Amino acid sequence: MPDLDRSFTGTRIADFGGLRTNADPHDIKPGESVVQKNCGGSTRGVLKTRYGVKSASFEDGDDAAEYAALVCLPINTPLGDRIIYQRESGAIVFGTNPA
Amino acid sequence: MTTELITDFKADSTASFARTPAGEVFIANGLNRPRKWDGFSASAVAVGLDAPTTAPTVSEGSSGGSELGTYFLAYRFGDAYGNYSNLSPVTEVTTSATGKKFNWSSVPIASGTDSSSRIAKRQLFRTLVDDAEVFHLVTEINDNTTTSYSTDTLTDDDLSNNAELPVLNDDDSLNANRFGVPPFNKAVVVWNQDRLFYLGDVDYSQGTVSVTSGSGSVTGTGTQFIKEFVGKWIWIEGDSRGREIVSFSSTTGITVTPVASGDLTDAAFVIKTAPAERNVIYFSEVEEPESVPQSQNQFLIQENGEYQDDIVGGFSDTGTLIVGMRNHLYQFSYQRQPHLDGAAQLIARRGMLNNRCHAMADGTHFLLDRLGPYALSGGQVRDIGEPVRNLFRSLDDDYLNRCFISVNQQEKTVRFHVRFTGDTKLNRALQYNYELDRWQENVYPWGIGAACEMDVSGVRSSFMLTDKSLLRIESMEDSVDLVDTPVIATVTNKAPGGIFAASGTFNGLTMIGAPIVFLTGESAGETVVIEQILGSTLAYTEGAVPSGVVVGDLFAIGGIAWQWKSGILDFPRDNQIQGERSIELVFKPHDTNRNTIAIRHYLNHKTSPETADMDYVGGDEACSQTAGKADGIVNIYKNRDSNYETVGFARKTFSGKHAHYGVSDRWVTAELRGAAVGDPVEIYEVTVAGAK
Repeated sequence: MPDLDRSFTGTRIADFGGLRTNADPHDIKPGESVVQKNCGGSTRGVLKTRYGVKSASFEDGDDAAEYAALVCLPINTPLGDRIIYQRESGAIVFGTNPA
Repeated sequence: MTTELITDFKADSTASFARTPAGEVFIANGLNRPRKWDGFSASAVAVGLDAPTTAPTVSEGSSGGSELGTYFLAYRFGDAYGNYSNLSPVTEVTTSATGKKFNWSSVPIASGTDSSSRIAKRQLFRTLVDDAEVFHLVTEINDNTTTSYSTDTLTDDDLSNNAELPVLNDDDSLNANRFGVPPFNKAVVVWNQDRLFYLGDVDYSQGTVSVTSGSGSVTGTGTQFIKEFVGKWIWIEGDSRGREIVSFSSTTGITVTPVASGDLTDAAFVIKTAPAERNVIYFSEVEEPESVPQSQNQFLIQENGEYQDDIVGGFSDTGTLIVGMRNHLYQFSYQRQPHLDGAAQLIARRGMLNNRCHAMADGTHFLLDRLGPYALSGGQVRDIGEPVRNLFRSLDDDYLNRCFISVNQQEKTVRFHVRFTGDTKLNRALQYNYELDRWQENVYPWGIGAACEMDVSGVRSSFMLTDKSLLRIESMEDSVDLVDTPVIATVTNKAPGGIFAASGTFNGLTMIGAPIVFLTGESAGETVVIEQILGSTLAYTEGAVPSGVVVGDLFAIGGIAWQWKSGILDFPRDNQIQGERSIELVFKPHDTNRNTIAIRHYLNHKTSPETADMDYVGGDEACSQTAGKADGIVNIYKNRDSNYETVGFARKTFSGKHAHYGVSDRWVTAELRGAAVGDPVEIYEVTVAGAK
């Protein structure tokens, strides 16, 4: 009887290659994923949860419910920063100095 | 504070914006007249100055400097910023002798037009005697009230020293009348090579209409007709042909030609640009974005592809105009005059879902069409979306017009904001890291309508506008949504549409809109959004609390649910070298005791994870399991084990064997999941022992 091979058998994932759903899951590279939700990262070798988002507002306060938007454009003017956007109603609005 | 610039734009069409080097923002939606905003004012103004429609009344007077002969006289409107209209109709005066003056007894003011409020002056022009080719400025009336001018006594010599306004340029192109009002029916504006381009048509189909045989009147129900529809065409379901709209009377009344050939009641309809107009692109004069002589400054994108296509967007690429159709991309280049020396070249059989499905980052354009995302650089298309292309087959066709792209250049990422079939809101962003060429999926608790990146006080920042609020994407090391400090609490009771927790948990209105992520129990990983808070103990949520939530479950306010699942790994075929089976993690320990990681494994392509046979309380290897449960819970608190202060290690073991002869386990899939609550979860390495 031959000696048992006790060497390590397994898959070591040191890098996370990102989401790959358009392939046979048997064939994707180690580290690639079939589900990757809210995690990834900008550094090779690290799987990291996404950054959070913080509530912001325009200068002098505002009504948060007015924000639902179709499109927006940021512009910097000599008098400050603006975001111009279109509400769901179609109206075009701008807010000042978002922070 | 927000300020409404335009209130009458239709919701049926998404606007586009174009910035000019002068700092103005041009806004078009393809239905209403385009507007421009100076970046400061509390309102936007109609683009283009409507020309006078009435010729001046001018007569010969005594004691002037005229020659004997025929003079041509006209005037035009101007605003306070050097923008002008086309000339009025011309008045011809033939003098009876030399030495006469010109008595401008009627110079009509601007009134009753979209642009009349902009008019700050009128300029009076006169030609030299018997010359119909060049006008010269007589004088400016610096108001919009004075209606006469009686001191036009200039000799031709004096007049020739004044500013001249040739009717035509040397190449016979329009000059004096180059100030045409831009088209109303183009929804996309693009600034390119010192000109503003107007392109892309939109349809209108809100409500129903009724017509009577032999009548040109169209009566709408639930419609919001506007005067800008005149000149467009209406196609009514059940009608035999399209009909041109010739007049507007109200939001429910228009007139068409030819008259209706049959009765139709409450029929669906669509108003579209005239067929020959749909892929016509207009452009402004150089450095005059409001000056569009439409009869001259236009060209057509000839669509010779395999099927009809329409322009939906456009953008500038180092001096060339890229025209985006749904399934094609054209590059339009020119030297001096786009309509004379320009040429369009098909560069890709890829297109755009809409004008917002384009963004640029680090010199590369990123686009999204029905086939998925792709990149355009140096005129070459790169199919970056291949790894996730199948996901884009799930796009909800009803929301293609709402998909958009945003960039975060600090993170080197592009987000493709999409809504899949079955989603309840547009809260999904497939995120591409263009530096690493990698994809991930972000799912936000809120519907995201728009996003942008800008420098705020010199600091690059990313913003998202949701159905709840303005959000700023943090660039700090922080994985928590919306709340400053995440809160972990226990469900003490369920209410219809809400949950109870201990007193003080919901401590204030700032948490409205914040996500709640369930950390334990059957609904672990599911997210709801706080809609209303009553006192400090009850929070109502958008939609129902997940049915699996029970009293005693933990939840985190502000937590971010995350998940990673590997591909399928094979168990070795030789029994003798299988060794142990486990999933090992190397991770970054946290200073706080808020985060855990759940390890799961799936055997043989099953959709349900394997569960533990017995309880196991994690020791040094940190992974605890409960009999009958799938999760191996990893405690990543730094103080858990002094051996793992800077790098943590955990292992979940599992059983199974691949017997070469007989039915046995052959494949395994590893899954990691949890909720980030505060510090981001960072995993350095995953090892699946016993499988490869």
